[in-house]
Amino acid sequence: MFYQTLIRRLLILPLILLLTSVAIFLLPYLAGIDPTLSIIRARIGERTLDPAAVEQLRNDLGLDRSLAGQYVQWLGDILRGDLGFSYVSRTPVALILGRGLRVTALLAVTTLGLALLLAVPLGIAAALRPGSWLDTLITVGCQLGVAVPQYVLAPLLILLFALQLGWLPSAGWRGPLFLILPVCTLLPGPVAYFTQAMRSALVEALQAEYLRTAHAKGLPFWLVLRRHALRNALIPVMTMATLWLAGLLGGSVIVEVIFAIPGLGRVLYEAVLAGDLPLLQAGLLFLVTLATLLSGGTDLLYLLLNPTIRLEQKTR
Amino acid sequence: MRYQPRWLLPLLLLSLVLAACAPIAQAPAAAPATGAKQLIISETFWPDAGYAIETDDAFALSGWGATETLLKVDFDGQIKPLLAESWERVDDLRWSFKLREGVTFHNGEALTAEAVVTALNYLLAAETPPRGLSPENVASIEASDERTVVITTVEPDALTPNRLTGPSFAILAPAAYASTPPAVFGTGTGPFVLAEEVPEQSVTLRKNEAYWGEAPKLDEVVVLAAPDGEVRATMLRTGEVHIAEHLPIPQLPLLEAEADINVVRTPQPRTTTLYLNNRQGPLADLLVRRAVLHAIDKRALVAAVLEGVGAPAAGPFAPNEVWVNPDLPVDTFDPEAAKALLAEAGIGEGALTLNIWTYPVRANLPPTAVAIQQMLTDVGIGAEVRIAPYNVLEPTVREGNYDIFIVSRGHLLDNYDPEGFLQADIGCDGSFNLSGYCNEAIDAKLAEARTLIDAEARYAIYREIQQTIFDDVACIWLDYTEQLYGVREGVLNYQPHPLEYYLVTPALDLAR
Repeated sequence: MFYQTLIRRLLILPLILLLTSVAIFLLPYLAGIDPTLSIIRARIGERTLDPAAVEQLRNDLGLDRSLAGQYVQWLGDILRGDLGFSYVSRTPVALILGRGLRVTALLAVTTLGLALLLAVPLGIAAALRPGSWLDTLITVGCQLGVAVPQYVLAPLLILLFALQLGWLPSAGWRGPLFLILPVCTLLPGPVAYFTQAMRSALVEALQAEYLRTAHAKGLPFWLVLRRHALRNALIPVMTMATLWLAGLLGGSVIVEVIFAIPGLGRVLYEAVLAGDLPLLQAGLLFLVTLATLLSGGTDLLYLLLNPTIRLEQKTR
Repeated sequence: MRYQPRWLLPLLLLSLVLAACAPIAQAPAAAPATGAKQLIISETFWPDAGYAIETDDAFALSGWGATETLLKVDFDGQIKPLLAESWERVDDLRWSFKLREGVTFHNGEALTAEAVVTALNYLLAAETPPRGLSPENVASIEASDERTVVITTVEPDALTPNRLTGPSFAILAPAAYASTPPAVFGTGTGPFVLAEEVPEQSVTLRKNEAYWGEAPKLDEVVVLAAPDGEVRATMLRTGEVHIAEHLPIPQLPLLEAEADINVVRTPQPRTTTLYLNNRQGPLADLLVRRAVLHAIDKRALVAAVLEGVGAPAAGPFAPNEVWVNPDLPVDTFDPEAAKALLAEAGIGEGALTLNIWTYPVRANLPPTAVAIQQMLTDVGIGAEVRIAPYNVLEPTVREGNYDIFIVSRGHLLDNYDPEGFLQADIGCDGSFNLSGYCNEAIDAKLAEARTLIDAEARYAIYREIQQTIFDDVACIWLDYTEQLYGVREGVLNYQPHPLEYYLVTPALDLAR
């Protein structure tokens, strides 16, 4: 049964990716962007255009061929591992994406790591005494964390720590110090969500019958919590963290712009503005693939780890 | 319980901690040796075309003091020698440039006529060549001896020396052209040598000890990428940078309140312009174009939208430019006249609706569009505003399917003479002729101007042309742009360049 599910997943995955790749390829055309014109504008700004040069470039880049032909060529290249060259900078797309990914990955992983370190104890504290003042405080804090937008928090942090106190740099990416304010801006969202997930999962686990059995065996409370309840409660939090990872890798644009960080989000944002199709399309495809694989992988891990899910499937 | 992942949590936490501890890939900008003078500036337009010299990336290289051209536009607008110590017109079609002696590239190669020929011929063959140097107008570029370069044009072109001042015409060492785009690190001739780069983040330049001219005062210059205006303003206020250019207007009061920041306001050769569809639709009628002109209160726009930073415009060129026609009126606001003109054109109140398009990259444009919408409504013209990225709008505008397109338009992008702008924007075949305006008499005058070596004679022609396009309401010029530059106390000899060609000069210095 497990292998059937696995095989079904593995068959669906390429299909999903193929469909997304068509959508991603067509996106710029649907938005009305003329790539040739965009490339020239990106290179010469508002200096005057030479129509002959436009046509020449269109031919050179193969943009005069049919869309279907361009798509097949593009997909073939990507499958062979050739992401092509950026129209604007004429450097390999893989290099640009790799550079952006390194930066954003550090940002995202640090944020999520800290978020877990904060959220797990906070979630436990809230779950142990549901309805207590501590629980209320944590819940209110979480709602605040979700509610405050990054574009409000970031300038406030800059104002305080860079401008007033002068402890931290306001923008850039040139050392560990430059990581602090962006991470603090990204942190409230995941901490809030993880804490709430941790809290509700743990509350549920603590009420389960097997815990009563464990208590009845005479095991000390902390051992019961650690060995039985926490393990079950951590699964949804971990799932959430994986999805957040995919989200942060592509979606940290606001923070990357405000703090002048050369991450993946900003790379793609600028690629949109410049009409740099190879970069934009490869970047989007990469992010979608990553998200699909991560969520697919989490599902499979669930199957592997959680006997109940497997049992449920068997009885169906 | 056997299915519980004993290894999962520790493994995940360990990997997270390991990843978080990994050093940030880029090293911090090295602290300068004690006593060394290190200046830090922010860069608005970070090179994004792989430093290709034929693209706009060349502006950054020239601004940072890394590359140099044969001739330069000085801070007063005059053409001065740079790598060429003198130049002359040999005959109608030929220009010769005598190179300065004793100039070496940063890699040690000597500046020779052959090196210049290699550099300029690369531009001639480039995929997107800088304007003014294409096989259509340049017949050949040759070395006539070790230190003399001769450029032969296809038609007489008085502006040839002028065109060579653009940052894209920088001369790089012959070794640079072994790759495409040419390698710019260590191949310039400027007062500062490109030394290190953190991609999309920062560049470090060191003093060129072997510089041919005045010895550079600074030891090191660090350039930080800061494409966002608010970010630049904050970095200037925290002292992370010494000089920040292109600051947002709303930041002006904050910056002026800081004791150790000087804000320099400089007029730019850039005019916010209403391109009107002269070719088809309601605005093809001169009466309607004049009605729109009279409906717009330019002074109110400058006061409200630009918060007073800028000046209301009459024609395309600002009053401080030598070729301006000073007789064009600024105060054309007259709603009653506008209504009368509409009546004369047979358009009843509310019978006409115009589309106003613009793009959001320049912050003042969308509010300008909305203000103009209101002003048109006041005289009985309906208006709809559409805001979309420039690249999305331009193709439709070029096809002539629009009414009004608001553009922030620079008119000295190629050289210090507005000929290129006039040709492109109002020439019948002009490559930026969004209005579809065509007047053969103007084309003939522009062709004549190109043959005139005497600058004053050329300017006289430009003034006539300004009068004609003003009378024809080819476009409506709204306001002249002023740029805000911020400089911290202690920076010496900073001077904004009218074309933003040069920022880091040999004279630029820091007080001890």
